[in-house]
Amino acid sequence: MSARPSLPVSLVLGGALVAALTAAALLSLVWTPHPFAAIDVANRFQGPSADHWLGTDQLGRDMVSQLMAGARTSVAIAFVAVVLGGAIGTALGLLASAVGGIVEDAVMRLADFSFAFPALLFAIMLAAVFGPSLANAIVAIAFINIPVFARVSRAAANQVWTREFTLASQVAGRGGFAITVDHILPNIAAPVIVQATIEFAVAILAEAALSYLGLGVQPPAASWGRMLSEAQTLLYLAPQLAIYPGLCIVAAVLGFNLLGDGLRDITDPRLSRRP
Amino acid sequence: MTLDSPILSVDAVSRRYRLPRRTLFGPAPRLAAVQDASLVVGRGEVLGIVGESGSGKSTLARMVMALERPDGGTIRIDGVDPHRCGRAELTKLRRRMQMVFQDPFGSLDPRRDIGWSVAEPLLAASGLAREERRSTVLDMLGRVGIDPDAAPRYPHEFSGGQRQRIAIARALVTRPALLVADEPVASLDVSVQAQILNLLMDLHEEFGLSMLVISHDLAVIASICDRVAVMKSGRIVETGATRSVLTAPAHAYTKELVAAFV
Repeated sequence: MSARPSLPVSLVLGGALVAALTAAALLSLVWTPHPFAAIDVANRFQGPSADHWLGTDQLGRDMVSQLMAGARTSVAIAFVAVVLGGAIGTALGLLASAVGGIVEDAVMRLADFSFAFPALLFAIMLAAVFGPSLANAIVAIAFINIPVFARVSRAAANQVWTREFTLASQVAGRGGFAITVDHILPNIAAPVIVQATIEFAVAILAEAALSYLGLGVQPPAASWGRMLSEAQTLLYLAPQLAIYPGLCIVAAVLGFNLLGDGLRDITDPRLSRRP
Repeated sequence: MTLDSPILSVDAVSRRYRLPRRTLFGPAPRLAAVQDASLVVGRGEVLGIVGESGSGKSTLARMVMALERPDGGTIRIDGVDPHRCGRAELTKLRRRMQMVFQDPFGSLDPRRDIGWSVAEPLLAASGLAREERRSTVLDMLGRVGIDPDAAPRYPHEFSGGQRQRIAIARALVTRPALLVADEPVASLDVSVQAQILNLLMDLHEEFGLSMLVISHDLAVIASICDRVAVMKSGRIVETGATRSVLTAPAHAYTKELVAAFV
């Protein structure tokens, strides 16, 4: 192995933030300092202490535990939504690219059409129409991801289709579906994964926004967005209640964006070619 | 060698491309890439097509390989028209005709190991079991001068000449009767060109392969082709035995080509 150029700063920083977020989310499945939904009104509005590292909120719930559980909610929703939306979107993009003609036009105009809606507004509308719930939040966020992935995968796939090995594959007698699975998909994996990382940030933000508006996960499940909205009325009394979840959202979104940028840097074929 | 029942016959084939419109309401201009081209490749024969770039040679090859539809005329491979037969028959026909491309860097999928790439034509429509497929692939790699142990390696680990050998192995793995080679050595170093041409000639003799070799380089044509067709601006202007075309060119354009070559 020859000496690699050093990894981009954005990749390292983003990777660290994402790793910390994921670790907190996973850890919350088995351990939090306190049960995250346990109410202890006698001990409300406490400052940081050995027992409550970041203090307690207006109902005496432990902040650290809530933030960890909120991380779990964010990561879980974002993951399911991005995977779901990404799979459907990528499949549509591949279909458009493989078939071409009127099918391609139809898929892409539909994507343009859905881009015309502000994504978050659309998610709010879906959640408002079908009622606030975890499943609806996931569906709404997945839905806004579909056109993004359709576009990225179609553009990348069109590029791969112009390469000679796809011609060779046609000459070998293979059909459009087989070529798509065996050649196109592996060759567009890099840009799609980069996009997925960036969409993760969008999904976390969307989940926070939906929960802030009361359209996301419902109590007693923890969510950064809902912590924000609950802290809003207490902003002068206990600003830290809004600051902590706010910082978590910023860190998570920043982390995924940086990670996506870093991944793009190292997978861009113009910079280096990996096997 | 006989022309009575040719492996490939191309009869009055044309292909026009629609160009982007220049004016809003006028008709889109068209470019005649191939016009009224006819040629025949006999069994076991090597026919060359020579011509400058843009003369329609590659378009003709792509139509023969059923990668592109002609606007008019007929193409027959072993008596079957690949553009008018059913899908199942076309798949069968594909096993009888294969192609080697110009760019050995683009014609192998960088994300597939070379063993997989060579095996691909066998995946399309063969009843071969996995083990059988594997031994066929390794055998073919050996025949083109690639160490069969290298099968799990990826294209970027090979040189251009080696990649072209791998591409040839892939083309011949189904034991086709007709091989179309589109500029098979144009992107290779001169020292490697001779090796690849020798390999093609060896395989031609070993398998009784009929070949359609496309090149802009008369030296390539002169070294391996029995007969040659000269193309200019989409038309075949002269056809004949390589030796007689080279020594006594009839058409003005051929004279120019030969003069530049000598």
